[in-house]
Amino acid sequence: MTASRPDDVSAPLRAGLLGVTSFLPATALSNAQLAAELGGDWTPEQILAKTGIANRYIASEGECASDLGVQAAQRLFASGICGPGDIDFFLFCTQSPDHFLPATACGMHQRLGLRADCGAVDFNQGCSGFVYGLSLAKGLVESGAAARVLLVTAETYSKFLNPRDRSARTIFGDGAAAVLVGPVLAPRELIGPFVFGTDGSGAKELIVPAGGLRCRPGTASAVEFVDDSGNWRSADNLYMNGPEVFSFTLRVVPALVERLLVRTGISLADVDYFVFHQASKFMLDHLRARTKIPEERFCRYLEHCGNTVSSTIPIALESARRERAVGPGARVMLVGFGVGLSWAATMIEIPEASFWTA
Amino acid sequence: MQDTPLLERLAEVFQISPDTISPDTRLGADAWDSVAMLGTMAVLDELFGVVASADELKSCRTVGDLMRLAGGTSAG
Repeated sequence: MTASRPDDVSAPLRAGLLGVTSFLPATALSNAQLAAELGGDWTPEQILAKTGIANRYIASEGECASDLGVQAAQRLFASGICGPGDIDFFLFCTQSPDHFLPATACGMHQRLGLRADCGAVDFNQGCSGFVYGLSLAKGLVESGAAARVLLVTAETYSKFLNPRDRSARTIFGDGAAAVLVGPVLAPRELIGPFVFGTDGSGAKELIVPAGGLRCRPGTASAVEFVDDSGNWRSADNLYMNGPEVFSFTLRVVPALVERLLVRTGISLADVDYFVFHQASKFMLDHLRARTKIPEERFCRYLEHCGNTVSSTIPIALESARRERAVGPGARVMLVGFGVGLSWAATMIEIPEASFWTA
Repeated sequence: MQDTPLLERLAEVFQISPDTISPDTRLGADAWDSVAMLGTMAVLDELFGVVASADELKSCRTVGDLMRLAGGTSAG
């Protein structure tokens, strides 16, 4: 396959987003099922009103993030955008690896039939992971290190959650996405600029405390307790301090949007579409109002599958394409923020490529 | 009064009647569940551009303390 060619054949080579696909596990967990399981006084309607989520999809017992990621990538290949033999580098973003080692990307590389001279590496990031992944892919392509990069995000947070954790179980869903970042001859940057940010002091606010090497899993880490919010969990389970994460989001995200606009040299009105990490309805509503982004340009894709962590942005982008909310030439702002605490935003321009014009 | 919109919004968050809420209204330890915290953070940010941390909120014992956090004047 060749790079897309505009009329100006002397235009520099840029990294462009050439395809987006997703994969969700088969088993849905509806609000009715959750309400029945969690008990208390929550009705399915209240869960929908409070979270903006109707369903989330849950990986089965033996199904891992790598399995979801492989399926998403195979869908990308099936779309005809590219084949396994076209990929020069494979980036896999997950916080639910198969093992500590080897890198989960290596096993996926083999399952996907990628070339022997194709690189493969995992990187561990959550809600900001897709935007970080784009920065890495752009670096590889525009430096000439690789022509076509397969970037896959996949997560199975469900496996970390305590069954009695009411708030986390309503919010998080499992899922994966696969995108192709490849060469486009274009006069302007098609991915970038970027703004990054990190606050490690917030690491404890969204964490699975045990299971890594800092705190090995065992009988002690499995002991369950009730926290201040009335949620049951153990050190093996995911812990999220909702209020602190919300507070962080308010401090960081509006300023992040502003900084990216300044860096890009354009105003809010010049951006065609905004895709934020789909954290929760409450957060999205507040951030949209705070940043004054018009509702019709603000992507919402939360009700269908919940918060799929690093996959929310690509899954939402895919839905935006389906709805024809974005097309070639559209300038789209992507904003990721969350666990780490970590954040990143970038501007992309949808390329004149077959995926987007189909 | 300039503080009225804040009081009304806080009454909503804590599910207190707007007629009875005042700067002297006490916020007991059980007032601060995560729903109240998120609601209060959203109100302070929206009305005053003030982002409060969970610890700052928990240290507020009265509605008046919250109003001071917002940078508004208390009615007293």
